[in-house]
Amino acid sequence: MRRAAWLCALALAACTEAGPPEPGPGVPALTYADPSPWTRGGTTVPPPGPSGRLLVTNSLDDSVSLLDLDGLGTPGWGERARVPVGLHPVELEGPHHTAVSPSGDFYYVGISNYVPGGGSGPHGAHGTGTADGYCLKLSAKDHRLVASARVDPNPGDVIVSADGRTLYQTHFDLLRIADVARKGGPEEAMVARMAIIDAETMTVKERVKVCPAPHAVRLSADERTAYVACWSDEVAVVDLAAAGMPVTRVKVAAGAGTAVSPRHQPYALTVSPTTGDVWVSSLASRQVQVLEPGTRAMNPERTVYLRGAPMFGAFTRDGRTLYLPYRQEDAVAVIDAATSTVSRTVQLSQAGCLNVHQFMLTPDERHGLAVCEGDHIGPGTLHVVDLAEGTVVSTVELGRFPDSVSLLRGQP
Amino acid sequence: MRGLCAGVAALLVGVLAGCGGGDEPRAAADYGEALFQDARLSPSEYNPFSCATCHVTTPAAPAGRIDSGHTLYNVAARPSWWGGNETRLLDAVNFCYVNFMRGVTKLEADEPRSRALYEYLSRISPDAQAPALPFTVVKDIQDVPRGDATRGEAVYRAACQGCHGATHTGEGRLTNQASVLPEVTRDYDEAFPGIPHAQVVIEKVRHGPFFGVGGNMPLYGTEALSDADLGALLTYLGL
Repeated sequence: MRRAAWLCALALAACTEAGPPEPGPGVPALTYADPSPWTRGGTTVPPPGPSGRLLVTNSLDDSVSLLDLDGLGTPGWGERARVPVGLHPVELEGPHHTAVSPSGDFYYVGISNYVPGGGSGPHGAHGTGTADGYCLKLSAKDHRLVASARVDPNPGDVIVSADGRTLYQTHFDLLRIADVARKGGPEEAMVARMAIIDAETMTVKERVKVCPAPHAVRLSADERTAYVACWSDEVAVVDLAAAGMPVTRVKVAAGAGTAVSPRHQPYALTVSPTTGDVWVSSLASRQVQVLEPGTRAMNPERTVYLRGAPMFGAFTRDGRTLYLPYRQEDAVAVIDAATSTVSRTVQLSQAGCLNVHQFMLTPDERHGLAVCEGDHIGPGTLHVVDLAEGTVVSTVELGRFPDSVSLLRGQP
Repeated sequence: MRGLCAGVAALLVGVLAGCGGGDEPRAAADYGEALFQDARLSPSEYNPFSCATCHVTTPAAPAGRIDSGHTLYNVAARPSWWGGNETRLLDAVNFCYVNFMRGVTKLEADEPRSRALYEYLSRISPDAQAPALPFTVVKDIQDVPRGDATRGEAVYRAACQGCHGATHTGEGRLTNQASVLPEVTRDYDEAFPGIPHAQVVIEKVRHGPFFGVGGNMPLYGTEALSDADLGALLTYLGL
């Protein structure tokens, strides 16, 4: 009887116990008022038009500007939306370059975590480039994060293979060069890696040691070779199809410098779609140097000398013309690839361009798009260039420190 | 004996059935409200925070309360959160859930608890056109002018005491993991040698666990806590 009374007391105690329901697995039966949870509020972006959508990273805004190609250059044409990008909403993460899947379903953004002025404090290490970077996979449909891969510090360039299955992510790790130099270490210890990432799963398949501070990476047409611009006055040639992916480093000029004291500072690359020649943009020497794939040697006779630091350019499909933006004047050099001569120059500075970073062509090759970083304090700009006229027909203000532009084709 | 057991069993069934209406389903929003106020929303045994720790649900916070987080009144109707850096409500919630509440995995949209929480947030969001609220992170930490100690005491009570308890003793603090102020600053000489104690406190307040700071204290943007109030707080803490 005493036991029965105890059980009753226990039951009553359970009944009278105050407090909220246990939020563990034993969730009670619930009735829902909204059949579509978590759908109120928020911001959605309309799908891109039939011509596709431009993506421009804003490095100091942690955002991506979206501009539909339809109506390009017409009055009122501009930013369709600006969407946040990054792993979280508090710190500046420095979205750098982008790559777009051929199917148009996804795009990839390198998170550099290297943002000057992006945060300081007694024990915060952010902004010094010591934090690992990430490669983000984002849905082109709703711009939400799908997956990410943790990579080395200071991600530089990111590109995707033609089949969309593989990403190549370099690490422009100048800090490593400085750290090793300070300790008196050898140049080999300054070498940073290129991550090769499975684009579907976002797992890093390989990490290939390429050179000191590798930045731009481009593939040969058969995708058996990767060319990488190296701060150490070199181009790294990576045999992707060979066992162990051996790397050959080629100095960009006779009397070239070293990782610690570069004389040229290779930064960007543009590969000819017809000859496979690799045109190397070197910041310090303001030269565009040509590596010929057949010999894997530089041909100094084909070097183009510019009046400013050359950046990321674009070839026409026929391989005859290379549009190469360069700084100081903030202009685009139109280069005849056969003769290595500048046939004309398109000025961007009068249109408000400061610190041009990249130039790309629209699919019909009637227009060029120049991304200009600006002063890294106010907004940067995107300029639409009528290539036939050689004039800027449209200027759009973007976020802070816009960096790269790429085109998302088709309907995600 | 068998009759007694049967009688007890019948009594038990009757009593439990009387608890909360037996098997009657309850409104998800009501359950979500309970979750909102319960630290056990997070499965982590080390989590002391509930949503209500940092957010009120009224249009404005009552006098004497300064929260790191905005009011969640109308939260479900806003076009963005976290200063425009989150454009989906569940992502904004999960940022708190994972970073401050030590939730190991994010809440899924269709999970019953998640849905219940959403229904509660939706219920306290009557204005369909509610604007986004600003959230300004102080990225580069700098010293702030000191203020009035009396105001600083009020700021401490409104913003700090709920988690840290009384100064010097920590009495009434939310969790033993919360440091006792300002005594914790004595440890800073070892942890952050050469850095003024006040600067470490400023960074903790402004950066929370981010920018390499660590811990899981939520950060205060300038809308939540002005530099003037922060300066007053430092005076009150003797820093």
